[in-house]
Amino acid sequence: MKRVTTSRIAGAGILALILSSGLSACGSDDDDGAASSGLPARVTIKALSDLTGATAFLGKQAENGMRIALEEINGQKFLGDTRLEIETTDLGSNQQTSASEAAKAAADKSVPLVIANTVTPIAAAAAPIMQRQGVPFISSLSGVLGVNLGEYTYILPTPVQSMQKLAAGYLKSKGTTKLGILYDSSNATQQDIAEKIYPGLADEYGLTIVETIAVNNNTVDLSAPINKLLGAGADAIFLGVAGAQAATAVQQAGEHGFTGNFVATAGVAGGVLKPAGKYAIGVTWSNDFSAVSTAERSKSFTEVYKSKYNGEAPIQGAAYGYDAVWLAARAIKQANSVNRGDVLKGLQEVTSGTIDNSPRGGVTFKDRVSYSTGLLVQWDGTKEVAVPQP
Amino acid sequence: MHEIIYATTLASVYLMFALGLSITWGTIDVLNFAHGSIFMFSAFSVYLMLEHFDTGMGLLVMVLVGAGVGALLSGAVHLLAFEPLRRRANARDREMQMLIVGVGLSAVPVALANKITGGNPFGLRNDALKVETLHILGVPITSVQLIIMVVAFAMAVAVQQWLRSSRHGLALRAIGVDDETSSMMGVNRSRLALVTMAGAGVMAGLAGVLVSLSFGAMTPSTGDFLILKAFAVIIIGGVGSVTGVVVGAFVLAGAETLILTFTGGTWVDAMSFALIFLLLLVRPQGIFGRRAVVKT
Repeated sequence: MKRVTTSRIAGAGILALILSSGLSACGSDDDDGAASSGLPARVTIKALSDLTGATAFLGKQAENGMRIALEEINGQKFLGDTRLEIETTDLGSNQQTSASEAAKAAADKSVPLVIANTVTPIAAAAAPIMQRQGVPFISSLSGVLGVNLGEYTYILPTPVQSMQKLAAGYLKSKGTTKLGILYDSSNATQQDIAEKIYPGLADEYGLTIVETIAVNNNTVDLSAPINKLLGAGADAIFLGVAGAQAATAVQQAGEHGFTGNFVATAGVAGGVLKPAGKYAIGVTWSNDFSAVSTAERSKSFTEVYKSKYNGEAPIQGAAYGYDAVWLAARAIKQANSVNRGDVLKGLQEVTSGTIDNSPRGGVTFKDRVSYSTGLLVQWDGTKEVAVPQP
Repeated sequence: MHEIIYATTLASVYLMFALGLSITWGTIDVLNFAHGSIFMFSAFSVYLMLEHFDTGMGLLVMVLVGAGVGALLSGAVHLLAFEPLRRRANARDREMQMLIVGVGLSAVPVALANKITGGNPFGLRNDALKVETLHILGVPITSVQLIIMVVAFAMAVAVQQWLRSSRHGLALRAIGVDDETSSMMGVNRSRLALVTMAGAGVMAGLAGVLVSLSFGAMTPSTGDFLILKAFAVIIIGGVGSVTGVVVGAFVLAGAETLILTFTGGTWVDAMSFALIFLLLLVRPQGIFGRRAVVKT
């Protein structure tokens, strides 16, 4: 056998550790095509998107949503003779890349504004740089914690507390009393829901939290934590995990004999649960947007998205990406300048009222965080369906 | 009892994944960072067949397809990248170049799978596959998990016996000690290296299919998560030692399961890798590794 030196083993180990490390019918209300004398012929905003990696399913949808908005903005000459462009960089769902690309964007003074199409842990690596360097920053997929660091940051998803009240109400309507919680400890939003929001909602909705278990986002086998939740007597489980982990958790719980209710976050939307087959039937989550929503504005956005992307249904990421670019365009138009300070003032002004061309319906901002009504969505084994609110 | 059974199932997953990686590293000196991608893409190929033909597929067919794709990919990586590098680069630079090439190659299947799936998880469960849940000493365990345990340990025993008792195994071990001398003694290094890489690919493909079935879902990045665990397993046990991989898999899976059960998942990686660090301080070559001999 090969005799391997310690330094070679250590070198390989270090490298391994380093390696470990996403409408035409949607016009604006104020699309008057006014001349924008303070704007150059082209304005390029920077997008930092997860196009690969664990959360690429969200980043890609956000990217697609951005492209729809961009076509509308340029098509209707929203910025007059100025053409809006987006330069996207793939973050690979990686925090280090997020920080380094944010630093590059901040250093490029021609960039008036940055959009991050990435989840909380990755956006949190970029947010301090944006804040310190004074770059207007729209975070389209993240939660507030660790990202909303000051006046330069705008967050698009409706805060999870507001969304989870819908899910808790659903559990109450099903007669659930004992809740088990499984969450990804590397995600500040999921951690907040698991450790603060549900304990805070428990009394109001008649829930007793029987067990809370954190897992890392690289935990591939969830048999042990699932067994622990079921052992504690949970008759419902909150899934604070996304992507493959959510499908694995649902399947392994089903194989352990669990027949109760699952509630989740929007991280399970977009067909994520399909691999779990029959075990995923009935998993319910609250969301800002869903392609199955019956609201007119959601339906028109969904139709445009499907026609542009080969029939693929949009998930919330697409709506956030769309909203992010429209928000950026409005701010730039309001500022009539690509100066970052002016664009920030533009953001402050356009977010003072209700934005009503969002696929999510009417959107308002409070403390630079957007709010919409939301809806409950359920996986029926093959597709998402809207659930009447209890 | 629950913890022992869950640790054993997890150890079996790590063992299946890490065994091929350890053998190629310890004998033909190829540290194949594309191993995780081969693992993932083998399962993904089966998924594409299921989607394309819109038909059910039994376990045997799935593992054969997965193992075949794994062998082809691993063999191709060796012939097209590692072997030309080995011939051209000097011994000092070769190892680092292979590492970098492996990292680069691993991105290709991941990017392809990401493009096709849109980054969504994929799974292999289908109507033709019957998965039963059994109870062993009161612990629920699926038939797929049982198969993984049996296959993992059968693979380890078979590889160990092959290395110890067969003529080719002896030749491979000789390459592991000194490939130049073994070549002068008539060992066809190139052919044996190709067979070893293809064999590692078979194990990766087999693991990809079975692990995907067991966990229900896999993403294009799942192989990247597991390669980190595999390095830990190999370093604990000692590079190139089959017994070492078995023990390393049990140590890591046992530590992770116990920490997860009794403390909380937040600490799993930190405490597991602290354990590895301590072990390396005491025994740098790993539990079953041998100290390096400095040639003069």
